[in-house]
Amino acid sequence: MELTDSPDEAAFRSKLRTWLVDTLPLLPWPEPVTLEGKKPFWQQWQRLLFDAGYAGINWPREYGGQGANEIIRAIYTEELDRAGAPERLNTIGEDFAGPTISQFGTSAQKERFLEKILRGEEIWCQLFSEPEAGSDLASLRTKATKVEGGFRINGQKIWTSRAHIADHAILLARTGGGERHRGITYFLVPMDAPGITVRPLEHMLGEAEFNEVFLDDVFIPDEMVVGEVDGGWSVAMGTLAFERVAIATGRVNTKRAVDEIVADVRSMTDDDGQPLGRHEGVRQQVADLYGRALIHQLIGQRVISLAATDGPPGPVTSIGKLYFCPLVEDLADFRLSLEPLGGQTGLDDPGQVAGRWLRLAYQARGTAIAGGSTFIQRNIVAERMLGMPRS
Amino acid sequence: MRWELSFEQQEFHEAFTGWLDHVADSPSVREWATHGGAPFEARLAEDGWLAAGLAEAAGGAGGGLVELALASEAMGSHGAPSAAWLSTMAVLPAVAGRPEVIEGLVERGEFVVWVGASDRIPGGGRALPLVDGTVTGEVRLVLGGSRAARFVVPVATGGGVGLALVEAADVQRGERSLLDQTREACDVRFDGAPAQVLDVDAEAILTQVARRAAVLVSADSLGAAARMLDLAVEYSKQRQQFGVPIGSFQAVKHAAATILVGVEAARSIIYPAAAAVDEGHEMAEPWACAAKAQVTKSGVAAADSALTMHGAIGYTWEHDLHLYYKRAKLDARLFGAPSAWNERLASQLELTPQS
Repeated sequence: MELTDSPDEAAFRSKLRTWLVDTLPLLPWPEPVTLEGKKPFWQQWQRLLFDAGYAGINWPREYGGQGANEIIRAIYTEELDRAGAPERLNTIGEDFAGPTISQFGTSAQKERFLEKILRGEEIWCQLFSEPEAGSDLASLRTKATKVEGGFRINGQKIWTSRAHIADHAILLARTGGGERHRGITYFLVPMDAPGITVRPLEHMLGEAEFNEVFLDDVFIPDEMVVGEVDGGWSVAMGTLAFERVAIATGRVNTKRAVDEIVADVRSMTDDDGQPLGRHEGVRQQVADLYGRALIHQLIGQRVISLAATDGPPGPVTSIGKLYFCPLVEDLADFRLSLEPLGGQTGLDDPGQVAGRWLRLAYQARGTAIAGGSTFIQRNIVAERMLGMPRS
Repeated sequence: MRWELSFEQQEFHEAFTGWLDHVADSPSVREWATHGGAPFEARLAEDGWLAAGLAEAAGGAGGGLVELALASEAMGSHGAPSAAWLSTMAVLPAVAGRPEVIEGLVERGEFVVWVGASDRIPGGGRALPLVDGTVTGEVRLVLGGSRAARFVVPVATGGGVGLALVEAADVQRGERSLLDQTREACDVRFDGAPAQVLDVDAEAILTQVARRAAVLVSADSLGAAARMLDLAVEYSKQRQQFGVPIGSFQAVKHAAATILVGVEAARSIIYPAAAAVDEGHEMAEPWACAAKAQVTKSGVAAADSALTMHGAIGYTWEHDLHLYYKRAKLDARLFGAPSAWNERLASQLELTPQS
């Protein structure tokens, strides 16, 4: 166990930390709240990262990245998080589409798309899920029909995060070469192509976070196919492998969340004006959440260390999401339980300090469903890791 | 950080697990559960395993708490009689400066056992009064007490708490039965027993002993949970109902997957915690607390879930499951329940305003 940074890692961390202190104040704070408002703010930030050589930290050098391993990438994420950097808007581009294009794409595709992702010029979204193809992705129905010079795409996609601010999409469609996963092709699609309609969907809290996307006779030229026609499933599995490390390490910094809870409890009092932190029940719950957050952090470190050795993903990679989802729910729910009426006074209630925790509590429920619900994840873990028989 | 067991650590784990597969098979474990674990402990000494996890300079074979945690996990997964071993390995820093004690342990299997009620965090209980170089008093439920050659006793001196060494020949022991028959405990009575005060910083050593106990018991719980998962999954593939293996039912799969989440989470914290305790790293205390509280709690949940997966066969004396089931339940209480370790963690978080 190496509990501390190696000299190289320490040097990277301290240089980055200094750069963040100098650079973050250059942005026109505060960070906007809506996605549309965030886009130009984030683009300015991404450009600063690119110019300083901090974009595409784990991308290969030949495609403009820094060629760093997963441990350096984890330090990078930790430091950006610690310094309060803007929300990452282009995770699909940087973490999934970009690496997929650099591994499976043609040189023309690499030339056209990769640097623009790193410069923050183009945001990506993922057109995979459909109304009838959620957990069972291979049953997707969107159809790509061969025409002169390309394909005509018809169908409907759903649950597409950030489609309304995206410039490009990765898309899976059926090209008819076989049943289920055998007849699927992987496309790159400009979101302004004629025939694409994006309709925002409101989530449970009444805010637009994801979308329905309708594809009506959309023309895609042959050059925008990634991999073989009818061979898109293996490319998609490549994309999902890039996603796996991200999911296992979790999208919320649970340690930071629990530190905030500790700080809040320290300053809160009960109905009698006594320190809240004296209550046995509160102490037990905070310590329990704290311990779980420490474990979540170490699960992340283990996944990252495994990825850095280029070893095959082990069981710990598969259980990450299952450990993470209930923890985030419990963190947010506990913090809300300290508010009047358990924080359920509405997002915009003037007396409400916990709107952010309320959003996190609901978002956490969404995360448990997105990218394969926790029910499906348990089936997968049982079948692939424990060798239990299929239903 | 880099979460990685070294090549030597992996080799040690494989070698020790292989040895246990051979020596501590199910019939042997059941025999020791009925007639006591002395033959196992004798083999442990004869085959040189008591030198593991002990610095070479101190007369050991090298390694540290990571190796001991690997050994503890393997003992837990085999149901090996480890009470005296576990207590000795936790209390080792107290006697590190006494070569004759270390030699007795390594060469002749003379265990050195911690004298504290085994349901309390070491260091948290009452110290025995030290009068004219002797101690008097009784401590209940001392883990591994009946197998000890020597005891490390917390004593109240004029200047505070100290640690003293007492020979087993100078105490009276009263056997206690434990539901988990793979471990044993006894009440220890001191009646003017001669005590040699150890020349150590008692407070610092007690902190170490508590953290080591937390890590080693957590590792035992991990081993027991991993074994119960193996047994349950294996059974779910064999047992047919409604014409199919019960392992094809989603309810059964979800139960198994949930145990695996606990097992991998446990592994993720135990080994960095072991390294941190050895190195005196700033995370040693929070990781040790979190490991004991979280791992042993999920070990108990794993036990109950594995029992349900087995159905009625798991509820019988004949099936081995109950050995591991009771082991996991005892691990949750040993050296402080999860709530005690959570309170210890809470006290470091300073949850009340500092005056």
